[in-house]
Amino acid sequence: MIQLTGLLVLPTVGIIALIIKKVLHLGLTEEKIVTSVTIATIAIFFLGLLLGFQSFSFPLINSIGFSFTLQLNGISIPFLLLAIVLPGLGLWSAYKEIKENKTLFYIFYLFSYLSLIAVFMSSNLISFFIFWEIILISFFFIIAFWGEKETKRKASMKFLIFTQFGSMLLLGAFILLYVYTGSFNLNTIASSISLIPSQIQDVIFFFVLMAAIIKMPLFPLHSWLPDAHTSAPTAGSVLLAGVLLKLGAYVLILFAVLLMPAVVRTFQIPLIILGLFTILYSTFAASAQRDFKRLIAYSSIFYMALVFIGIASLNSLGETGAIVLIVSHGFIVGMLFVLAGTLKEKTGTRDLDRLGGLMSKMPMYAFFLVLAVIATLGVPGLSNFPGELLVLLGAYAVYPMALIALAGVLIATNYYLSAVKKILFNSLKKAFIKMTDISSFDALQLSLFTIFIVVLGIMPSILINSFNLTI
Amino acid sequence: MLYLILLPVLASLCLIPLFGERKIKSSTIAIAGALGSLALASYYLFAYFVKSVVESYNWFLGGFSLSFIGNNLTLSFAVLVSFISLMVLIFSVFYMKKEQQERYYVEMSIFILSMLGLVLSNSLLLFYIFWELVGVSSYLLIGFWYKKESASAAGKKALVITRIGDMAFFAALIILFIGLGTFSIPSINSATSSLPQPLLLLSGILILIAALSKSAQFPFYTWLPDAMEGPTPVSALLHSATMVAAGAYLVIVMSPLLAAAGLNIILVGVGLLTAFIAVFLALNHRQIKRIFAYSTIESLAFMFIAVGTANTGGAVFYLFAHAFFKSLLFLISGVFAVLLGMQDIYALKLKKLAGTWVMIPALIGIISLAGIPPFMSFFAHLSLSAGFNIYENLLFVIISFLTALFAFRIFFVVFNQRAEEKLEKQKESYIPIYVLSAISAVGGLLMFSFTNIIANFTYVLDGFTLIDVLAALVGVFVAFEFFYRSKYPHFSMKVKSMVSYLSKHSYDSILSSIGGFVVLVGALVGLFDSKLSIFYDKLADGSLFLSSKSRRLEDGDTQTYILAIMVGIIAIFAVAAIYI
Repeated sequence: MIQLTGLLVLPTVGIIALIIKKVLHLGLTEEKIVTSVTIATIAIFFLGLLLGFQSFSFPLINSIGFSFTLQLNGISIPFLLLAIVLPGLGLWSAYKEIKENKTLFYIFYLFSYLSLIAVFMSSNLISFFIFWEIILISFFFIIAFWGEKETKRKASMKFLIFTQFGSMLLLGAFILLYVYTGSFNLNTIASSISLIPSQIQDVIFFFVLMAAIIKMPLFPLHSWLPDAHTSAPTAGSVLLAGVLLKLGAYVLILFAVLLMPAVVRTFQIPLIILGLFTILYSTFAASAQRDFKRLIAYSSIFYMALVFIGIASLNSLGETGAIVLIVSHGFIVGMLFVLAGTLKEKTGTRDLDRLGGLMSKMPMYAFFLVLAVIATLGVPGLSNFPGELLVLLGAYAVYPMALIALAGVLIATNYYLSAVKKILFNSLKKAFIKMTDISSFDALQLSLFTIFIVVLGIMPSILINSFNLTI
Repeated sequence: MLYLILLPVLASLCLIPLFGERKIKSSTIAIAGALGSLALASYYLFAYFVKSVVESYNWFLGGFSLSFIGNNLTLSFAVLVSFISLMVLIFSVFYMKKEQQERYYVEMSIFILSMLGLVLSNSLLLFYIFWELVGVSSYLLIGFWYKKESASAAGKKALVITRIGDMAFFAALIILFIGLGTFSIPSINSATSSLPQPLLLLSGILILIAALSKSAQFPFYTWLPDAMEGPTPVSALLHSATMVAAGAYLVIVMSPLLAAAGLNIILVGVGLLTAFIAVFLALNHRQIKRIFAYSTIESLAFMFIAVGTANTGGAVFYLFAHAFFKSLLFLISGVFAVLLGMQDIYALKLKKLAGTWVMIPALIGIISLAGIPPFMSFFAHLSLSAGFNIYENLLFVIISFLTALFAFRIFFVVFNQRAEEKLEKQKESYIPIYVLSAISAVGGLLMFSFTNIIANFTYVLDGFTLIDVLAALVGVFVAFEFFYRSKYPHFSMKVKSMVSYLSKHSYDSILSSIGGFVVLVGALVGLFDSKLSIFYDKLADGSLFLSSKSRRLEDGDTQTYILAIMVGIIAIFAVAAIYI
């Protein structure tokens, strides 16, 4: 058995090591510290998957039931997989991109790494909320300090205020849960959920829903996301799209679908309609983008809306599909953001109209880009397909019009293929004559993403068997 | 162990990048893979003869199983696919000498693998998986010469249009699984009566859309002529036994469902309409590959008509015959492309090709195209028309005439003048061409044992057969007068201008205007979205002052952001309140 605290110890050690290094001016580089910490954490995680995990609890303030409790719930494992592996995969982009204030950057990076892992294991609502907040704050600093010069201030403020608003609503929901059940412990709350009057349950549900809609995000509260992505550094984008957005889906499944399914069922159809509208809206909006990273950002709204539909379908097919899609999309969108970052690094631009013909100079890059795009379009054999299939089966079973989502896939096919064509195909633009292909480290990083995408695509049962839909 | 048939191609797919032209050429590996699959497919065809073996593997959850079926029909399809692939791969050695070998053979192997998997699928889920892979690999292959604007555009067009069908297929998959609780094709076909009529009709229409888009039928046909931008061996494979055949194969295996949904009349109607459009467009073009592309559209329309007349046997037999002669014709055009570097039939005329070694194979191919005895294609026509009623027969007479006309137009124009020098002859080019023309010539004998392959197989030899052949011969005669002896140039010009007038106003322009409309909506939504974003920004205009120097949160600005979010939330609450 592996202690769940074991997953948190190493990032903490890493943070301390970085601080000591800064103070004592040790020769150790930041990169080495962070790499070893993440690799070790990933190793512990996979070891734990084999041997099993052991819960941990340490009471802090007994009078209000605040304890530091780490316990896996039914859906923790897939989210932990994303939270533990993806930041590690994004590190190589950070090494290339972050040149200023490296120590500080990696401290924030490890803080968000630590809290992301912790948030998916916290079964005490207070510690859940604390970690949730640490993620937002450290991510705010990552955009504000290391984002793109022209836009970082505005984008980071927008990110902070939007998501803080969601946090406040979530806090409101937690307080209401405490007031009516007398506990911050998730298991206790789940067993005494019937104590909460139905109107209050409605209110709690709406608070959680709003927090999720801001976080995932869905129309009309999505406008922070494209800005945040466009100005965040690549490693930040990988974290943001790969894990942070998934927090919204996590709270929605945990605190709404699993805690009070009856309430969700009342609003099921409008929720699915909201998801469908967001799908069409975001895919059309993505068609209009010229910045490749912005295009990926809008497209990730599309996939999160698909996840939202799956969650709202309230049957095991849809929920399972939503979680499969969450994990799959985490890896795929992470890979796409790394590719977009590489594009900027190599060519100096992400403007699709200024690119062209790069395939002749960068065949390896082309291979990975085409693969990621095909994966994101839900071609079978790659990880998005089982998720999309299950989500739509689940949604169709409750609301046949949900098949409209397929129109979104079609529009996505069009804009992604246009983007690929503009970046890779046609004759090489003069500005890129001296372009070289990606380095072998880049290729290694992208291959790691690819391995996850292919393995989960061919054997989705590994993932599906790792969770069950219970608290 | 039917999946074994896929393994050789899968192995070569993995080995090619591993060797990367060192020690073993990628073409050799690819050919070995196709040969292995051919051998295994033939072995299983004999081993499982008249048996039907289903092998299921659970993929995930409970009902999501992938199952293969081995019976005479699927296994003979597997033999066909691997055989044509083998021929095309051998020809590729000749055609692709100067190209990037690895990428080409890897993509070809994926293409062949997915088609082999598709024909062996017993579950609609597995069928769909390979169906999508066929589409993606053809996208890669059509856009193989990515530096050419036209090629990359054609690849994209092919995938975007066929993806309309893919999504229709996906929707049908979902409807049928939720409705019947199974993906198994035989179970679905036998349980159609337990599905409510509207759902049955809807799923039938969706399946039909899928097949029409993949097989380049009306209203989706426009991607196929553009697809000739790919290397010619790709076209040879794509037009004969793979991509477009996948659509026809889908309607063949799903024919009970389509019939139960009452869509047979639509199949016939769309098929006839497509056939007429295709022959007229074929008459209008000068590019040899483009003419062949239209003829493929026409031939597939024949198969759709046959399925629509409850004659799947005829469709299957015609599919076989067509696969041989169409790949043959494309390979011949590939010889022209490599040796003479041209595709325009009037340019080829000047090269004086009559009497060269390709003439006899080309004649076999052209005669097959026109459905004139005594070759395999004629026998295929006999079984094709077995289910026709009087109107279909009458229309088919006109089609026969026009088909022979455009087919022999190619022949009489290209082989117009006696050759002065020999055309180069290489092993890799003449072996596949001779083999394919031999089969196209004598394959008609298969007709007498075809009932073993598909039970529902008949053929008729009646008055209309005779009339069809006569009409075709008239077509040959007219083509001879117009294009060989170049008589009545004035009249032929008039016909030509009329046809080109029709094709100019063809609805490719309508299609592109639909595309333009989608782009317009995209632009509008994008504009709205940026305005929405600016709206939030405007409300919080001062937030730019929150510089890292001052770190001063100006209350008013933060509040405005919050105000904006409030507006959004209230809107959602309002919608929810109205709903409750």
